[in-house]
Amino acid sequence: MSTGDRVRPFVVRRNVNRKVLAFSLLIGTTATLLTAAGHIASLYPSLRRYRRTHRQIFEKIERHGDKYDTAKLITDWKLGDADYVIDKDKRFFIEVPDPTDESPGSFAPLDYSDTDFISRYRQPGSYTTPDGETWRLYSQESKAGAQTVEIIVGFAEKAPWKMIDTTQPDLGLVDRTLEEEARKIAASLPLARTPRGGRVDGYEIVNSNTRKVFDWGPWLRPCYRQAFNSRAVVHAFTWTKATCTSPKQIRTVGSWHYR
Amino acid sequence: MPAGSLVWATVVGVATFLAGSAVARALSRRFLRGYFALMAVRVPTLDEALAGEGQRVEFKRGLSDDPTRERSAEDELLKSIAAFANTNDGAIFVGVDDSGRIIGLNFDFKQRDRFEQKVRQLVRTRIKPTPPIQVAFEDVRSLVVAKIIVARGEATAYMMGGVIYIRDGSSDVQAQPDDLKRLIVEYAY
Repeated sequence: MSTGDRVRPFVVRRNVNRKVLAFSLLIGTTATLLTAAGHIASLYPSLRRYRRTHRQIFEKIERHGDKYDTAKLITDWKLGDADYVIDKDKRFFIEVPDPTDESPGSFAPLDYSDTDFISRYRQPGSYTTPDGETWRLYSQESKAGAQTVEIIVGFAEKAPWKMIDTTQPDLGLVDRTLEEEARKIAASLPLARTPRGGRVDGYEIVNSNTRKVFDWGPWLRPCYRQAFNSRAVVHAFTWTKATCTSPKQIRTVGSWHYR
Repeated sequence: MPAGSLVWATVVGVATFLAGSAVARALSRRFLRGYFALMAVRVPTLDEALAGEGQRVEFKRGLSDDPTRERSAEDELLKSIAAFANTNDGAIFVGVDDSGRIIGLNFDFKQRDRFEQKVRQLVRTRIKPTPPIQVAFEDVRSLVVAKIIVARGEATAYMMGGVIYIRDGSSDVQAQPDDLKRLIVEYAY
């Protein structure tokens, strides 16, 4: 028998093993792709719903020069919620999530505040937001353990969701209340996530160095003005199109960008 | 997508990939080795084979209907199968005489099926371990030729009735001590 004609079993075994491996990897890849396709297919109805909601939300916001009117957005109770509605250029949070027991209402990449803006209100002062609300703001610096933090408290003087606008004579009382609440919050530090600022419409505690929001309460959107870094903005804007999902919950991010 | 979701998706993706691959590997190692071995065999067509018997081609007239000669015909067929499995891939054309003349098998579809079952049963019961084979039929001028394709096996040696046969040119011969030594050495390398 000529040597060249013989096929060694080792070579056959190796070839068969290669085919088995290739086949296994192919099946593994197919299984992964099918799982991914199934997951995406299961999310698709939600994605469509969120996309529709985002579009409706944008339609409810009207622009008048540099200002925008969100009255229709706020008063339309049938409209689905977006977690955030953000003006990317002005870096203003038109709508923010409400903190609940289950969720602190934060959104890690966006939880940064502008401490320069906050420190401007060492004396109580009024600030009109781009969407027409007027807030009375007061801030103070404090210590939370080893960290230096900025505390800002706010009271909505005039807002579509307020039954009665605050009049000029009442501002003195509002200012005293703000100062008192800020002191109370400072005294309660560094305990996080406790009910604070019961007599004001919102508060925020921000790390002075990192600008990261340490704790916050509802409605105080002005302090989120220029609140996030550009990377976060990119995320927020991108997530408008691709509703972001997590295994535990589905969050939608509505972002708004004027050109 | 937040980092948590990305990690979760990656973990699920990797786990699915690994689990799918592991299951496919276990099943294919158990059930598909013969199929994969046969996939690599280059099967000569009948026209190519008619050039004559050789290292990879063997002709058989058929399995005899005469009970006294049946055993002998089966033995010859099984010897060739074992020899190919021990030496190299090959094809056995049943229905062709030694001179390469097609005599054909008088088979209808039912008989084809029965023939294939019989060959597989003979191989399974009389050759140890069972080599990878495939049975096909070719119709030539209204004559049926059975083609038994044998892949070189992965085992050290395939024995028929306790004897190891190897293919030597157009003959199936008993392995000599040197051949046995070589089979054992080649098994590992």
